Amino acid sequence: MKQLTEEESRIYITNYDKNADFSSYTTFSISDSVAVIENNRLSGYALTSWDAAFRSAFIQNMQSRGFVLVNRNENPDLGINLSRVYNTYTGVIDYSNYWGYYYDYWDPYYWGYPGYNYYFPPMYGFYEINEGAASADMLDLKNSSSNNQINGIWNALLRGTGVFDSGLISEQVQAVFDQSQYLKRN
Amino acid sequence: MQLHLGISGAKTMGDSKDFLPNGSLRGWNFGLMYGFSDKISAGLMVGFQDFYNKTGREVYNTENGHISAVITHSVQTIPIMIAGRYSFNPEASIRPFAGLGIGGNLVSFGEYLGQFGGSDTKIKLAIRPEAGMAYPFGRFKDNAVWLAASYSYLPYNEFDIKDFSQGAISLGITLPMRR
Repeated sequence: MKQLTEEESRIYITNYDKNADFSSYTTFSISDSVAVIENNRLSGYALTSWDAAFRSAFIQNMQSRGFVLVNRNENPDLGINLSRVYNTYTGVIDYSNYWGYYYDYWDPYYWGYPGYNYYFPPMYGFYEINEGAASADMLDLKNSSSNNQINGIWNALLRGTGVFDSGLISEQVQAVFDQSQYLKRN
Repeated sequence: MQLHLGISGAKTMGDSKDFLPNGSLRGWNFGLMYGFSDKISAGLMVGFQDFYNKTGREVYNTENGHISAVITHSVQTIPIMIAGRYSFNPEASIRPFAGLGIGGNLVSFGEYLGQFGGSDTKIKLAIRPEAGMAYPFGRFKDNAVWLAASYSYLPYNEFDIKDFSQGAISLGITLPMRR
């Protein structure tokens, strides 16, 4: 788009489950690497300098909202999966594909829940992606045992020019937390 | 036959002024008119006006959350009309005139959140009354510079936008194509 700076080109999208009581969660854990998803297929996990900065920014913001970071084997209330999503199709791709293959990217086994399914409300499935995006998905692990289902309760999507600039990722993550004031422990 | 060439500044006056609050100096018009008499001429008029507006970054509510974005709108209107002009006093040194054009409006509407979005092009109705003054010059007084004010009624009725109607001031020149 003409006459836009890189900063102006970016959009930050957040969705959340309005039935979720975020103050009911205390601890969280975050994936130790970032899933790299290309054309709806997992191509691997990575921890580049950008990935590390992305992960670090989420930890910092979660802690500033009162949540306590624990290891994933310490029964965290919340799990956060981080992903980089690339699609190289020339056509328009519905973001719902991302959720359709989610089990392949982040096996519930990772969070200590083998055999569980993921459930993301339909609200998550209306984006279109035609280039790279950074995604973070927050999982309700605390209440997952009731029906062998892990519910996604918050999602952030960062898109636009410069999203994958390590020097800019901190302020972008800050932005998605700034627009998610409900996301706090107290 | 007369050739009309002009430049124009315009400002949206319909509901589109909510997201296109700024005027546009990026406009021109072109016409070929046949003089049926010294008072009446008619022919084809084509115009162009380009509007653009960019908001600052804001957080907007969505059905299930929020989106932070800079929103830009880009609109181009191209009315293509059968038009006529009536000169009230063709012998005066400054000649007032009134005109009316009716035809189609080729309109391109673009909306972008950040760099994401798209544009849509439609053909809609265009009606443009105008009034102005012409100052003839040259040996036969058959050249003229003119200044006109116009209102273009440009209904749209797409994407909850009723119209791209606009008021404009045009400055132009009329040149004879043959004597």
